[in-house]
Formats: sequence, C-alpha cells, structure tokens
Amino acid sequence: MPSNNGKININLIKSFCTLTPDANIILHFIFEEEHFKLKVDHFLSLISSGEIPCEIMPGVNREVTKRLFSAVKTYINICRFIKSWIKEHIKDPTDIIINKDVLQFFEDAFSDLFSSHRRMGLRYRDIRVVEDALVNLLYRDIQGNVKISLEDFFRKAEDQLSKKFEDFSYRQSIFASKINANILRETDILPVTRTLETILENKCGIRDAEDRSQLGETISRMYQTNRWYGFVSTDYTHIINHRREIEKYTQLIVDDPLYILYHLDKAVNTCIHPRESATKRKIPYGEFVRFSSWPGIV
Amino acid sequence: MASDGIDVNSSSLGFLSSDILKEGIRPFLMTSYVWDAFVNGKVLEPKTYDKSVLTFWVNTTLEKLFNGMPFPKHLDKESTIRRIRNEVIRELSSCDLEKFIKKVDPQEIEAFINKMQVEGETQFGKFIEFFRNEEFPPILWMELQRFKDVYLEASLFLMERIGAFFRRYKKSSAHLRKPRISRIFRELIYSFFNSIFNFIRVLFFVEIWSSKDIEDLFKKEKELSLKNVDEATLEAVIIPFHDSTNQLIMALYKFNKKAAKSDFNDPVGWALKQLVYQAGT
Repeated sequence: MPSNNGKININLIKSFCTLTPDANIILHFIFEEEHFKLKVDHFLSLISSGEIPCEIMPGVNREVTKRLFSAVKTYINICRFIKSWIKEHIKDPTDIIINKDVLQFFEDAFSDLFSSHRRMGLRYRDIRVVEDALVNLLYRDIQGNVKISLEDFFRKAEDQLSKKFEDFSYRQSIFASKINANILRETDILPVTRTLETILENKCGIRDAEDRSQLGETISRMYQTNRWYGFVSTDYTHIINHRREIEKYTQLIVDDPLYILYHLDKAVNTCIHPRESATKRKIPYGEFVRFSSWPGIV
Repeated sequence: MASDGIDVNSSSLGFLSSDILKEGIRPFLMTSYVWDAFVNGKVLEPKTYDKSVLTFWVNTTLEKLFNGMPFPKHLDKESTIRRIRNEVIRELSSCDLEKFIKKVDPQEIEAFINKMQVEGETQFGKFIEFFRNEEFPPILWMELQRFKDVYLEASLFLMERIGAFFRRYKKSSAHLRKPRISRIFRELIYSFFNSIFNFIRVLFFVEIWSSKDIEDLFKKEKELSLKNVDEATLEAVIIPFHDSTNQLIMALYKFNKKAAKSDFNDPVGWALKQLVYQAGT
C-alpha cells in the first residue's frame, strides 16, 4: 500500500470502512453537551468531509429511544404522585390557585415520596431531579404572578415535557440525517453467537449486557459486509478502555472520535478485508455469527 | 369517546367506525390520494379502488400490520386476524366505490383535502386529549402529539406539491401527467406511508389490548385502557412508531433544513436530560 505522505487516507477509509456511533455520541449531540462538543463536532466533520459511510446499530438506536421513554415515564409518574398526594391530603388541585403556600404542599408531598420511593419503584436521585424542575417552575410562576390552578400548573409541566420530548426526537432524527446514516433494523444483522458474547465478557472485559449486545451487532455486521468497522464512543470506563482486547479478539476497532480514523487507516493499510485478516490472525470469526441463517455466506 | 370528524358514521363502515380506528381513516385517505397523484399521475384513479386490488391490499397490509404485534393471551392471534380481515373485506365489498368516485367532483378534491386537514388538526387534538389520562402510558399521547405535528407538516408539503402539479398541467384537474419523482421525494412518500401505517398499528394495538374477548373487539363502544400492558409489550409497537415518525422527520429535513437548536437548560429540559442520562445507570 503506498503511503499517503503521512496523511490519513480518507478515500481508502471511505471505500473499505464504516463508522458507527455509540449511544453517548448521539446523546451528546442531542443535548449539545459543551463538555463533548469538540469530540462530537470532530465526529460529524470526519463523516461529512470524507463522506464516510455510517450506520446506526439497532441496539444503539433502541437504547437512545428507551432512555427517552424511561425519562418521560419517571417524570410523569412523579408529577401524578404529587398531584394525587395534594388531592388526598390538602384539596383538589383544580380548587387551588398557585401561591407561595403551594411550596409547602410540594415539600410535604416530596418528603412523603422520598420515604416511600422504593415501594413505588422510583429512584431517589430521579425524584430529586423532578423535584428541582417542578419547584423551579412553580417558584417562577408564583413570583411572576401567574394566576392558574394547581391542576393547570401540572398540565403545563406535562406540556413542557412533551415539547422537550419533541425536541429530543427531532434532534435524534437530525443526527442521523447529518451523518447520512443508515439506521439498521434487527433483521439487517446476523444473529450473534454465545461464543462471541462470552469472548466480549470474559476476554474483553465488557461487563454490561447492553454494551456487549451493541458491540456484538457491530462485529456481526463487520463480518457480514466484510468492511472494517469503527465503533465510536466517548465512554472510556465501559468501552474504550477495553479497545485493545476487543481488537485483539474480534478485530473490531473501538475508539474515541479523535483517534478512530488513525486506527481505521492502519486497518485498511493491511490491504486485506476483515474476514481474510481474521483467518490470517486465527480469529474464529465463523463462530461469532450465525452465517448459516444468511444464504449469501456459507 | 366522542368523535365528530369526517363523516364516517355510515352503517356500512361497521367495525372501522369504532371511535378509535375512525381517527386512522383521515391519514389513510391521504395515502391513497398521494399514491394516486404521484404514482398513477391521476387522482381518484379507478384502478386504485378496484375491489380485487383493495382485497389484495387489505390482506398484505394486515399481515404486515400484525407482524410482530404481541396479542393478549385471551385472544388467539391467528383467528383474530382472520376475523378482522374478513370484516374489513366484507365492509369494502358492501361499498359501491365506483359510484362514490364518479360522484366526486375532481375540481373540488384539493379544497376537500385542505378542509379535511384543517378539521383534522382540531379533531386530532381532541383525540390526543383522550389518551392523556392514567389509563394510558404517557408516552402514548406524547408520541401521538408528535406524530400529529409531523404528519400535518408532511401532508401540507405533499399537498403543495400536488397543487403545483395541478396548476402546471391544468388540462383537467383530475388528470395529471405522471410526475417524475426524485429519490429523496420517493423516500418522503415512503416515510409518510410508513408513519401512517405505524400510527394505524398503534390504534389497532389499543383496540386489541382493550378487548376482553373477540366479540368485544368488534364492539363500537368499550372501555379503552392499556393499564395492564407491560413495558416490553408496549415497546413492540411504540418503538417502531417512534422510529417511523423520526424517519419522516429525516425525509422532510432533506427538503427543509430547519434549525435543530433546542434548549435543555430550562428546568424541564434540564430534568429530561438528567433523567435520560440516569436511565441507563
């Protein structure tokens, strides 16, 4: 392979590699996280400047959506609890016009919820977050002299969440559009074997089942398409710190957006595709994926 | 639930006029209108409404609609689907679609659809309100609200395009020259149909999981509730619905790159952000 004057060969990467983001990259984009802005922008520019193919794994897409659903459920359940507590212990929220005394109702309702949260399947820190938001909203309305009933206040709090839900989903879609990503479905991925899951868990040190499942999907896709895959993440603790083991046992390249192209460049410079490379390195990729369920490959 | 939208109270509509499925009819009509305009190059193309075509369409659509949809234990999936299919086909057979098509003045179709859209917005709002109580998971009304906004934006966009075709080829408003469709426009039409398909799938899901037995399913009025549906069961329909609305946003974004700025620093936005990050830990 000719050297590229010390530069990363984007054209080769474009022809032989695919990038796939972890859920945290998508979430940092959605929330415009200042702390990760440079990394996310770098990732977006890598793809757009080189038109590098990009795919979103079904497990990653599902994780982002399920986190959103779970957040909505927690928020609304807490709102509903507080509302019904006030109805039971004070009076019907429709008959209460918000004023400073409502702060006392909230304090009492939340302290009751904190003492019974486990029974209700809620987590202490989730309740704290919703309390912070609701009391902040309430305080603003009281000080802003907003004359609405407590019932309408809760409705407003739900409406605001609904708006944020739309914003989140809109940015989730725009992320995929910006990187021109192919969002894969479960049926696009060959099933992963128990052997691969065991390797990821025991040899690569991936303890979280969801992480294993997403890495497994990417490895499956890599051997199915015979293209090099770069799994891009910002999670050092659970994913990136295990990159050497993951590469050693499966050949999947996992890294921070800052370094991913360097490693993909190294892979394409070997001049061989993942399956041939695996054979050469005695990596039993045939045992990782159920190729038999795919008529194209024996 | 009371619904006073487009007049679909004809007795021949039977099962489909159940209050909840009625809301699916308006978007469904849009799909055949868009299909006729862009694929056939005509509106109210008789071959679209041919009974054998419709029967084939019902069979394949219902098969796809119920594929992967979990059913409650008290309803046998196979026989329920068979019964639904028979009911729908029976109702279609009892309608004289040819007569209906001939009766419609093509000049007025555009105005009719526009009126339907405006009415639809109000109706849809009432419909979403119905799901905003403790009988249903909150994610349902939020997804429906989002679908409404994106669906209306997409149908307005498509209607404008169809209107432009009408104006350009005004030999007869009912006969358009078959338009050339670009790849991204095809994607938009596909995403539009797919999101409506998933919307109708959610409506069927609510009907099915609210029914005590198969006879209850075909009753026009019954108590609707998803209280006893667990999260995994709901996710089987709500995640594809969410994804299909996202897909429609992506397809629209290719034509109209709206700024994707949003604020997650105000109290509710901040709370959502914290809860999303904490959800996986």
